[in-house]
Amino acid sequence: MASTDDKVILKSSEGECFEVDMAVASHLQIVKSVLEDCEGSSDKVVSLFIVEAKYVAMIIEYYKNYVELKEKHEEGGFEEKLKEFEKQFLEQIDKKELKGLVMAVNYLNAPALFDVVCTAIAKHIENKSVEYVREYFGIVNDFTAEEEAQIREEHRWAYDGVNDD
Amino acid sequence: MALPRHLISHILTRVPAPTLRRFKKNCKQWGSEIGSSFFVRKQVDYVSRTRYREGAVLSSSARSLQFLDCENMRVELRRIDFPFDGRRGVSVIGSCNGLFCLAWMDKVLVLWNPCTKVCRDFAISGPVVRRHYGLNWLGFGYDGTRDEYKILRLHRHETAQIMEGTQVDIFSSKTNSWKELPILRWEIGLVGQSQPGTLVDHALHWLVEYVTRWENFEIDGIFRFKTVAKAILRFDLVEEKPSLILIPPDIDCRHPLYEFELRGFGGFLSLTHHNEEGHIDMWRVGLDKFKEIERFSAKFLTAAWTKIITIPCMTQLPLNKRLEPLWLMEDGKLLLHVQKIYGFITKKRKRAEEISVEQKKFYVYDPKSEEFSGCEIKGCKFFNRITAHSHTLLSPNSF
Repeated sequence: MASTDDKVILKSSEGECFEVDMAVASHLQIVKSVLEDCEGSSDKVVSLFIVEAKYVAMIIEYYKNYVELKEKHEEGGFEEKLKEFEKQFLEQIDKKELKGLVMAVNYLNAPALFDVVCTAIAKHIENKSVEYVREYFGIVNDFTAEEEAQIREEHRWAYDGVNDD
Repeated sequence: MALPRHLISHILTRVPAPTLRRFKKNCKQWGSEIGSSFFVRKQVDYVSRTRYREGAVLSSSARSLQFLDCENMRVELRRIDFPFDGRRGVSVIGSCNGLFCLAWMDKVLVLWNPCTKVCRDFAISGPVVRRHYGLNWLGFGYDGTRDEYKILRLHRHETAQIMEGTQVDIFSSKTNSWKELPILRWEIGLVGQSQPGTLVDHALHWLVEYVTRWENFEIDGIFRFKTVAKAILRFDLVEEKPSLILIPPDIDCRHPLYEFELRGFGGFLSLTHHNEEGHIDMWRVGLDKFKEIERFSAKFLTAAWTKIITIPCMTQLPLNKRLEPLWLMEDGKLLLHVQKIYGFITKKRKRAEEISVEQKKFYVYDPKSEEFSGCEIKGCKFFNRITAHSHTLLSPNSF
């Protein structure tokens, strides 16, 4: 098994520490480059200044499973198993938290999870009304009534099949 | 919490194009983002790279397309609404980056985005189809290196008596004209219905018969007999070069053509083989592992074929019907449809003792449990062509 040398400590914005295997942490590009910059230093603590602990935990959970599944299914079937896990992983995350998670993942530069979270948000808003989506993203409607009527006229057919959440 | 603009853009790239049009009115920033050509391009790239939400479109010569919704087992009808008169005769040549290439009455070629309803009529000089003796085969695809949409036309080049080869013409969206390519000297037969080419990996593919041997007989004049082998004609749209791919070595290449089908599922080329005993093998070709070999005095490519599914014989079907793969669904199950077989009946096929009265038109095969389950697809009308399609907002007039 991995020795303590292969561990790194990730520190959340609240100062909470997470001990993580290097194999897991190396999926976070920012952690990788920080560690490369201070190579040779015994200090293996990386501060993720703007990332809250709950998001650090989610990201670690994702990549821990990612690494494990990859090891276990080297011969094939990894993608299928990962998809299964991703589904389960996303189910336990509150829809509002997805926004915070995408910010965190973007900051940590973790491509695989970034795609997963972006797709999850896209799926969540897909069949929602404009009003819901505005509220979800905190968007202020800056169209005048005339402009809005004009757009509605142009895309009349596009309003079918909407469900309000 | 408001997300920065670039993150919103990444998320919107993954929202299906029909919904995006609705989101244009969220606010001015979203409106300009979704309407920008940069964003449209980005979504096209994402969709074509990941085959995000790719679906099957079923078509016939009728003026509407049936978008298959596997999740709800229904089809959504979309009328082909470009401004031609209402006569029938529209055929789908292909779909690429959200655009359909349609031929109308063999005279007009149109690029059409069913999502934005924008169309572009290619003012083509001369007929789309060259009516010689043989058949005309068309295919549609995209050459990303030149940002060019291309239409390929194959037809038999014939002089008075002897079949001389295959004429290849290519139409480019940039020059808006046809260009003649060197005649293919291979003795390949374009047989069967004039099926459009299967687009996978910037190349079009057709199943062809390759003449391996001619023999002369003399009985009241000279007759010529040919021995043929099945092969896949691949035409690379970037290099504008043809090649022939051998079918999997496990299959006897002398099997009749009706036992095979070529499909482009989920970004890979697959070959279906209907075995005489009634089971179906689906093969997938690794398009990156070609090797050139000499066979039948011509250069062929060998490819790495993998058998992905073997579907057992559906003994409940009457002998004049068979199952044909329709779509590989997200959960790994295969959607099949029942097709009538014309002209031949295999006697080797196993049959159930009693055939139940209730016959379904569609079946889902689960390779894990090795079981079939019959299903209905709501609203599905007659179709004879299956095309893979993804929605984008790309305008056919933007190139």
